[in-house]
Amino acid sequence: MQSDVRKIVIAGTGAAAGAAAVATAVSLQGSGISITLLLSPNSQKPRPVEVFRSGPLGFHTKLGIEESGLCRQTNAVYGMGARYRGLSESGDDVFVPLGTHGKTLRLVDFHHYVAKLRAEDGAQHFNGWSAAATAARAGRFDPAQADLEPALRLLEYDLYVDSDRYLDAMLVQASALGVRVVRQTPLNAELNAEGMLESVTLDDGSSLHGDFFIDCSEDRFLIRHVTSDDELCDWSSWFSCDRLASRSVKSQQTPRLFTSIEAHDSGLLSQLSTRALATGCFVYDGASINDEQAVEQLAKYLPGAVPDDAQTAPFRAGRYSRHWEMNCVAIGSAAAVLVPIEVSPLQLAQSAVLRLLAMLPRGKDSPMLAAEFNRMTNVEIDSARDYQLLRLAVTNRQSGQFWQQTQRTQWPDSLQRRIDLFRSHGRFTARDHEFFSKSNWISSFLNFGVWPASYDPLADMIDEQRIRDELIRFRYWTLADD
Amino acid sequence: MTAAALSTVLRKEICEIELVESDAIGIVGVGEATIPAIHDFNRKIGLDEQDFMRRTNATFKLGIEFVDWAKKGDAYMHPFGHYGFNINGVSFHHYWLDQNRRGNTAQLGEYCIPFVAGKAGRFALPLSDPNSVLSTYSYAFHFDASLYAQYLRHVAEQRGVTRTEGRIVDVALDGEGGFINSVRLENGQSIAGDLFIDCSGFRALLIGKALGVDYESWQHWLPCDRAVAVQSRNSDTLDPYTRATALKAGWQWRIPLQHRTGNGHVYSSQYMDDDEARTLLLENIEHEALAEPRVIRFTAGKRQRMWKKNCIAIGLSGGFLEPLESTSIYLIQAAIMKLIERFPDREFNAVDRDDYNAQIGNAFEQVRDFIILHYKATSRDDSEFWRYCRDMAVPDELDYKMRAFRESGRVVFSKRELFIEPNWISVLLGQHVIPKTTDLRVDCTPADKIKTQMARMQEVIRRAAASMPTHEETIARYCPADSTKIES
Repeated sequence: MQSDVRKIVIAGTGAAAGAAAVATAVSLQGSGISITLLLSPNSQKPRPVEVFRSGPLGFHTKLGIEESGLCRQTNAVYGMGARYRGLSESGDDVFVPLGTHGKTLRLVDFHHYVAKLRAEDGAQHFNGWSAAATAARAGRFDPAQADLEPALRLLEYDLYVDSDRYLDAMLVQASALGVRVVRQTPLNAELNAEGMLESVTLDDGSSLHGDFFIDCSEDRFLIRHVTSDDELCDWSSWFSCDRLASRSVKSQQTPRLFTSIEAHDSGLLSQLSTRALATGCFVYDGASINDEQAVEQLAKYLPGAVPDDAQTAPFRAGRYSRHWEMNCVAIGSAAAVLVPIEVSPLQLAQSAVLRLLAMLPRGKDSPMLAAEFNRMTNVEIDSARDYQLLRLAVTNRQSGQFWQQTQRTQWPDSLQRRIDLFRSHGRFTARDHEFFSKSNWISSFLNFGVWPASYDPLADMIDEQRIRDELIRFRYWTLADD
Repeated sequence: MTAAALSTVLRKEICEIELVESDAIGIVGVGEATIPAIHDFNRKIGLDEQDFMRRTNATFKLGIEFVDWAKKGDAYMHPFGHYGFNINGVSFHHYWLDQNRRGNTAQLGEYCIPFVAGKAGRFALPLSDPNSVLSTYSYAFHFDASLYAQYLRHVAEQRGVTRTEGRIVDVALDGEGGFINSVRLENGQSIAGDLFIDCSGFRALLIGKALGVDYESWQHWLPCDRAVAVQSRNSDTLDPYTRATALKAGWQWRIPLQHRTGNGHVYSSQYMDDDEARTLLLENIEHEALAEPRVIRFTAGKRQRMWKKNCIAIGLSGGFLEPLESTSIYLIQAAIMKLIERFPDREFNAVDRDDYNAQIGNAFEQVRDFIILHYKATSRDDSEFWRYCRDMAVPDELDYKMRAFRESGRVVFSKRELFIEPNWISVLLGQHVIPKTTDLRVDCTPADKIKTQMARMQEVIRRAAASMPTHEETIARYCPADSTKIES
């Protein structure tokens, strides 16, 4: 069957566009469809470090791209989760590991047994059953290591990579797969009579024609020409920070295998590093702290030799509602701006491009596929937003205007229902197309101290000693690496 | 089913289960066909498959054959297995459609082992070796529902469930909260409890009569409201599949058991009277009827809430969908499993209850939509009934699925649905909902290469099916009927 789509143009400035080009090329190899990557210089400083899911369930493995070479080329560090500091009044750190904790016993999820133990013996440290938390503590992780307990194997972890090097690696792969790379700045876009994108005018005066476009830009350069709805669904009523400062330094010590996040009176600071670079950002409320003070805060938080000066920029969290319009699809930063904790724009872009490749149309216009793609994408983004907001919703920090306001926030219904359901009996109902799994959510609840009022009554139905034996056995395994 | 399942997870010292049943009240089941999801249930309650099959005259089932649905003279199967193999991550049916347009006339079913084996009357248990084509299908059972009920009652009693014989005549609520305190039996005995599970069938004694939860009718989408059922003598051979033949105002099932065949005609009383329905049933059975046909009345739909206060409706008291896709037992099983996941304590927390209601409501709606598709996607116009079905408006989600498939060949579905891509593909294509386009990635492989690969698949499947013993041979070796009475 003939396809009207003969030429796909992917436009962007960095890692997301590179990853999208490779994925598209792998997926359409042999089809005769040509792929052009239009790479333009970023008007803002690009993120020096990128984060994405690695491992057997990650983006590259799904595309059949071997990751160990990529790790070497990009100064990669494994990410096991996020450590939060200063979110609770008690001052304790909270670590939210990736992956799972223990395993289901007799139809009852593992955390119910831990909750039962807690009801009987007092405080329990849920991360005692997390392989990722153990690796983060030990500062060591080797995905190739043989597993003592296959059922508890860690299948979910991140990679932190140098953005430039990652983009280079993607460009090498893309070129090898026949992708044409054009390095130009787009000036304008031409539409045809039906309002579809036809070509992009470049700064050398030439024009780049395409049948289907993927917009990975930071400023929605392509999609804004075709969309009838260019309004950001604003999330500021839940997350009021409106400025973002960022800075990066040379990596000094041995990098940590996690992202550090710290509460500040006026917002959130975070940092993570590869083997070469450490990067930090501060998202803050511009009304309670000015840019100069923010940059100073960030320098204190992330000291060290500075290759670049710190930058500040406006920040507005939210998402657009129509990502696929006509023959153009916006992904990553062009689709949503998320709070910069635990999800990166690259991660969103990778997930979106995999979804898109399974739905590419033959005709330029495919309203049903577009509607379905938009529906799934919005579920994914909103659920990721809820996952991030959960951290704010359950904190009891009082110090600082930002946090006092957080205490009074009315959270999205979708999040509040999940919190209520979990608080009651530790239950959680997963939905489709979610970025974070049930395990991630449960791990977040319990590590942030949201223990259910009562556990699953069926957890009482197994012999008490057996539960203890199993719990000890699982814990022994996760500690064995220490 | 509920008593047997709960008795495997609840410890007697902590939570007692009492089953109140009356032998005087018959059960609706006439010969039951199931879907592969039943394995989950059987495994969870620790049922011995061979034993249970022997005791319930069970046979194997590889799918459901639909005759005369999209148009008269048509037949297709909804088999319990995949079609072909994915190529480069793209579902097989896209390649099949492409080849079909290029003039390759092989039927989709020829790439599906349960279809080929089923039509040849062959059955073998699937292998677990993932490299073998004999691991790419699943199976379910046909069994005698009354014997199955007896069998599970026996399992439940062995695990400590108390059974009380008697008919419930009254339900006592506590004054303030409206919770059920106890039920009173005909002989005056009163039985108290914390949690009441209403398995009282269409009468819905607790959830409907006592607690007043209304029934939501789906009759405008599923106009059939009666069934007339009869058992008949077996053929010489036992087909390892259920057959559903569309008739003038409904359809007729045929379920082969070891000792007899179950038949039933599901129809809409608005378009056909009972006499005509009975006559049609008897005309269409292949061998002599073994009893007088019985008429059963129903309304497609579900209770507005399955769980209210301390009462949960499971089975017909909660809702009914015609057995076109053999989902009756599945819906019971889904409710039980969800109950186990959301098992309440004495506080009967509203958040857990609402979540349960939402999820079970969802399960019913998904099955409902799948069944409606068989009626909607038809070009039959030989009766009022079919014209109505063809022209009716369907639920939004089904409409969306059908439009998406027509436009793109994609099955938009949620991972958490019972029926997933291969199920929808069987029925959508079987009912002639034909996509306008195929997946773009089909173009990545030259068509003649695909043609060769597909021919090889077809050959592998044909050989594998031919290597299987006949259905009768497998039954004789694995689970011949044992008519000894189940001791209770």
